[in-house]
Amino acid sequence: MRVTRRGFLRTSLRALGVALAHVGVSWPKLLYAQTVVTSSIGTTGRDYSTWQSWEDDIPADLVAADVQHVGEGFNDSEFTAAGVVLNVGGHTTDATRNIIATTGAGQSFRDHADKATNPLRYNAAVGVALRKTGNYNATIQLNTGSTFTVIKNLQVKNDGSGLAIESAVAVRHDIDSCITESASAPVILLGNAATVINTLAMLRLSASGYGISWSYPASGALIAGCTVVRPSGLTAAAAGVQANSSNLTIKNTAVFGFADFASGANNVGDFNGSDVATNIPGGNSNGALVYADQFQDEGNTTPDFRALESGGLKFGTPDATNTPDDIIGTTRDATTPYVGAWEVPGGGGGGGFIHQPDKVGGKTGGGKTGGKQ
Amino acid sequence: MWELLVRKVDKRHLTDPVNDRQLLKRGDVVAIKPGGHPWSKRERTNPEWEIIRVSGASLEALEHLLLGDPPDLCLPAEEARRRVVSLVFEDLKPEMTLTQIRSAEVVRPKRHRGVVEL
Repeated sequence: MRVTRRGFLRTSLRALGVALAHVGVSWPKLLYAQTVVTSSIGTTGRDYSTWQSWEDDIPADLVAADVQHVGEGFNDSEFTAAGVVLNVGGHTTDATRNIIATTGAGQSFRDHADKATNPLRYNAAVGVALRKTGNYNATIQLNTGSTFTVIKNLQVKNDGSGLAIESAVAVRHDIDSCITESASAPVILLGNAATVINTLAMLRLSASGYGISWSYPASGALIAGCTVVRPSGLTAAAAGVQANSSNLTIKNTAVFGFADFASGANNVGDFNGSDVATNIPGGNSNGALVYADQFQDEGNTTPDFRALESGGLKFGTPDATNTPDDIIGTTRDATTPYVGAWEVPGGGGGGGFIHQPDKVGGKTGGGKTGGKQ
Repeated sequence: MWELLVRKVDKRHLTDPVNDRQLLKRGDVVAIKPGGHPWSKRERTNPEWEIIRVSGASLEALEHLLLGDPPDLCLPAEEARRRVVSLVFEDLKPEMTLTQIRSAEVVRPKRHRGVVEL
């Protein structure tokens, strides 16, 4: 467990406090130091062997204690449980005194030596991974309280009859650079002003179900740079995104394998790509892409949702705030990044025709890596 | 053989009753792991936790001890239970059988607008 203090202003005030102490003036300690408690989670000599014991050991009121708790998973073994692997709830938090579940240095699929060539799907061998095996409940469940909890750099799968990540309606949680997968819908259920960035959500359920769903999105709700898919071997149905609200912005996001892009026409946003145009927001979006042309393997047997340079997803818009890099940390193209979670490094191909549904796929090729590997 | 990490004392939120209801309480199971699981030193020595070994049980027979009410639209936050089934801590011993665990189980009450439903 590491305990650190942070923040430029707080650090400056701390330095001032030290200087004042030298001349005999006391400075209240709490004014200048937010504490960050970082704990290791894994099965080889870590602070905790399960995510749930880490969460249960976090104090109830992080704001009063002026503390942020960071749990860093280590890939000593796959984190599996019959019940919820990580259930967060009941803490008083805010935007900086919050709970962050992420990975230790070098432990994420984003850090793997072969991250650029590893198939983009759940694979516990390449990074910290959480998988629920039993029925009911989600793999990660974010309950009431503990708002602003962040789930980052993790792989999350539900092998039972539950979601990958499920959040309470009234609170905001943030999902960043995760691989999520479930056979129950939706893969991710969020509420309020939650954000999902650079994340793969794969629904392995035929003929029904949403990919990412929102309950009552609030202003600021965002999906950016995500890939939301149902593998092509399964029957398309429902919508990739379920949240018919102008509070939800969807941008630079790829949705494939569903009957509709979104469940209604009220979402805002732009530069989205899909094989279906129904309810796709934005005048620069393209709802006429051919599924089979966009990814290394869109099938349900060995899926691999790395974008193809020869596909038509290279028509996104730069977003330095939310998606300066992609799901594995590749810097996005400064002028025309890829739509979806994956950026083809140096990719020059793609560039499908915009909003011309009769011209399927658009121009292809021109890049270095070309087609499927 | 399975090992249960069980809360020995209530985890409390002293100023927020809704949040307090979301925290694990005495007798709630924190985690279930196979016998011989490499619990960390902190998990083995934390005075708020106890590790109980259960023999003669399948995982399926124990996993309901980890179930809570899902955070969905059907159940207001103040009514959701973090664990539906808990254990009477006073009835627990370091080594138990499934039958003994069953006899120590208690269903947590569900609260409806201030009324406790048993």
